[in-house]
Amino acid sequence: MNNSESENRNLNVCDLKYLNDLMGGKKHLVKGVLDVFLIQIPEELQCINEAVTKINYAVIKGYAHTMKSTVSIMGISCLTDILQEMEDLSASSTDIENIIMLNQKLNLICNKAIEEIENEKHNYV
Amino acid sequence: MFLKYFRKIRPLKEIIFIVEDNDVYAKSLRTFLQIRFPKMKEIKVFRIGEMCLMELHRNPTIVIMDYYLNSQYEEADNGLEIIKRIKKIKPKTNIIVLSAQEKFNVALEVIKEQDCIYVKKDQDSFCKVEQLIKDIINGQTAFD
Repeated sequence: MNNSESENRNLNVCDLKYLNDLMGGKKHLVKGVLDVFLIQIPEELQCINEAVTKINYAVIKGYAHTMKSTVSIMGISCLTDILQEMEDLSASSTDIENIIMLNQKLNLICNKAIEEIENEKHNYV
Repeated sequence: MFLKYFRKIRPLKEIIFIVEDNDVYAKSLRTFLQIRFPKMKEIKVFRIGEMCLMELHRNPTIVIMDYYLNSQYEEADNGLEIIKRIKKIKPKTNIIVLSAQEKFNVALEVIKEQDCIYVKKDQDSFCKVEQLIKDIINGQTAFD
């Protein structure tokens, strides 16, 4: 691995080691999960964005909660605290300004994750 | 000796149901369990608890379910309601409840009352579920 590749890896938001371990290192099985992720995450993002726009705390809470499981599988650890905070704030139906700010971070990181997985999945054919 | 060999190669009769509305999590868990238990008769995923109830007549040995089930289907029953209904229809079903909820004390008591076991969704949860399944298949009382 050259320096540039090493730097890129450090900048990645996803760490697929855990998923690789779960799938026993079988590439086609990892790819199966990656394909589901690429379908699911944009749908979840769209739903949570709509809920934030409509200030629907119950829906924000539901999607923030379910996305925690998704990001843990994909090793997107930088989203764990963001999603937990979104879930907590929406549970108490407060601080929509903060939720909007957290949601912007969520979108940025998820879009980066999608880009990474799109590139990475070619290694799992 | 032949019997020992036969036990090793015979397929298991156990069926596992996974009730989980998060597709990434469900796919990962199902595939993980298929790798770890290649002789399992069937491992089936349901996105909605009510769909699992409709197939309870197939006598799953174990139901693994997400506690917070209706995050996307507001009309669907939550995990606790589904647990109660499973236990009412098939009281002997082993139920493993998964949840990523941090503040869970009250729900945990109710889950224990229903004779279920709780596994927190974290990096160790798949391995914990694997061990629980082994214990159940081997006839150990994992739920004590």
